[in-house]
Amino acid sequence: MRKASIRQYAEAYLGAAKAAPQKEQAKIANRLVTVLARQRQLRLVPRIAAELERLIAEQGGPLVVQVRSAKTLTAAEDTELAKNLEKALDRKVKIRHVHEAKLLAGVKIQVGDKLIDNALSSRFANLKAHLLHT
Amino acid sequence: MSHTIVDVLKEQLQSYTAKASTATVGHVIDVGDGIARVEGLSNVKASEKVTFASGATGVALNLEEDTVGVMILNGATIVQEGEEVRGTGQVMSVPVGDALIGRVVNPLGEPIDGKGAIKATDTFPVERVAPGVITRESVKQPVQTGIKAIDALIPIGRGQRELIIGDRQTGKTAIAIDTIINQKNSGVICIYVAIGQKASKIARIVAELEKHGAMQHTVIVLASASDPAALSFLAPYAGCAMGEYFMSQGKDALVVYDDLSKHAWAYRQVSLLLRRPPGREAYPGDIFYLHSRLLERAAKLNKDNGGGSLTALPIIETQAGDMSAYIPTNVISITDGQIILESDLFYQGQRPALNVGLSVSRVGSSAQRKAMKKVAGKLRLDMAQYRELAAFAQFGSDLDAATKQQLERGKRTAELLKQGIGQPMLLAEQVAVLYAVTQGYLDDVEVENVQTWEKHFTKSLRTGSSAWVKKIEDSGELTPELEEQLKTALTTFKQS
Repeated sequence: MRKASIRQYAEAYLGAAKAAPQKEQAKIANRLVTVLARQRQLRLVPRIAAELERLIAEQGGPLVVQVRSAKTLTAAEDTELAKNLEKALDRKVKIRHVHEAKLLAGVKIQVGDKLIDNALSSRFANLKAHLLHT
Repeated sequence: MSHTIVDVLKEQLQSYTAKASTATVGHVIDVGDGIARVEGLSNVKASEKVTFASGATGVALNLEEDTVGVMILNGATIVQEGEEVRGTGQVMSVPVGDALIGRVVNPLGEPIDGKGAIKATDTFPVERVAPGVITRESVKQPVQTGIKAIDALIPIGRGQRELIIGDRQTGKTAIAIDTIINQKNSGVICIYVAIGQKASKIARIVAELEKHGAMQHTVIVLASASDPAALSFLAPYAGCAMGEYFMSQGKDALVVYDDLSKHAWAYRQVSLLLRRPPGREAYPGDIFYLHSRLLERAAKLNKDNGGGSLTALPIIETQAGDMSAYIPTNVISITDGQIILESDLFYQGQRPALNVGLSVSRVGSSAQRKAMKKVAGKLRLDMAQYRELAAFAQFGSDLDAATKQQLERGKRTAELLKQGIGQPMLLAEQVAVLYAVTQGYLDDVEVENVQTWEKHFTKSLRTGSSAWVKKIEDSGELTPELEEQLKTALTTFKQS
């Protein structure tokens, strides 16, 4: 059988998951993993998951926004950020927090492949590149 | 030094704003052999420069459904799987300008001669659309190579593309280097692009150019044999961009691509690694376009566009004299003529080992100086007749006097066309010696003495400081009066 593309896997899974009742969901996920394992495509799982998020967002679901920060955000900061993001993107968002100490300070906010970079580490990297160039 | 660092730091800190930067990002899925496959980067353009988090840079070449194929330019070994990649929104470009003259740089425009940073004021994109029809004019000014056989029989004009083709060790590079050396006072800025060459050879070439004081008008772009194929692929385009800058300034530039066979190999490697389908000899389908778009950028611009020019001397190395292989036929069809060098001639002692019969210049004759044109017409005819007769005379011994005389003169002409490496000649000297042989002044000189005769005669021209020599050199014409003076000089030299 010809191997399907990542997008095709994601579309097929989403279609099946939508049609099935709640208690069947785990079974469907299991089946996808079995199919992938049989086709030796298990390494695609993270990319299929990312594609699924994209598909859900395309179909009106919440947009997943990855927020990487050096320190864990407080609950107040969190709601403030979510409110601002929802306003800026004009849609419902789902924030995924990643704690990354090496950023030193500031945040990196990523929506799809657009990145807003406000981390201190990036600024240092820019300064280093600038100094090396002059 | 520390002072400047503090200054830059201060400047940076002062201009520090809380404004965040935005970028398009992706992640490396896999990397190997100088090619990275990247996921994300959805808005990246073809040929866009991308940067890796590890500091490496690359060019996006393949834009596929869910991945981007990136050719890594430097730091192919430090890129890791999963690494972040950012699009820059800019196409690949190189520094250009006068600051590059006298330097040896890599295809990214970074100095590799240890003479410090290059303070270039401008950058040009490496891939550029060639000048259009409206901006061009026909080739009309010569590029004097200083090599008699070429200047007389296969003249090259400014803005022309003349291929130098031959087997290994036939003197292809030597012709290009002699041409560069001879541009010392002509105002032509030379760019020598070495593709996949040994670094030792380049060191030798730089030393040779420095010895003749030719580095003052030369830029060397080097992608050595140990550099990744991506740099070899980029090198001619980078060199061309540097030349285009001088052309855009209304100056004349000359680019030597040494050699395009290795460039084709490098592109074949990159293409196969990018999984593009192989065609004839495993080259990708766009191998013709690879060279045609490069050589099309050579041009002579008209007055309204500054009047600058970019001459291209591509070099192709054939295998066992096979001119009908894929890449040689491609480049022959693109260029405005070819200089064919043959190993047989080389070992017979004919150096430069030029095949006068097969070598042509399709547009250069209109750029030839009048004085040279006058002697070259007769020379070409003499040589053609000589070749015909020489082949014929091998069978029979009883020849009539006229044929014998023709053969003897042909032998002397062939002998006179020999010229050593690094001995470029002035136009007037070339005209004088070629005039002598075509008018029969050398008929009574023994064939083996022709070169000695030439040496002494040119020496007498140089030391004699005759006004007519300078006049020919400056005006490029051989008027009847000057011809008379040349005749007298030849007769008096003969008597002495």
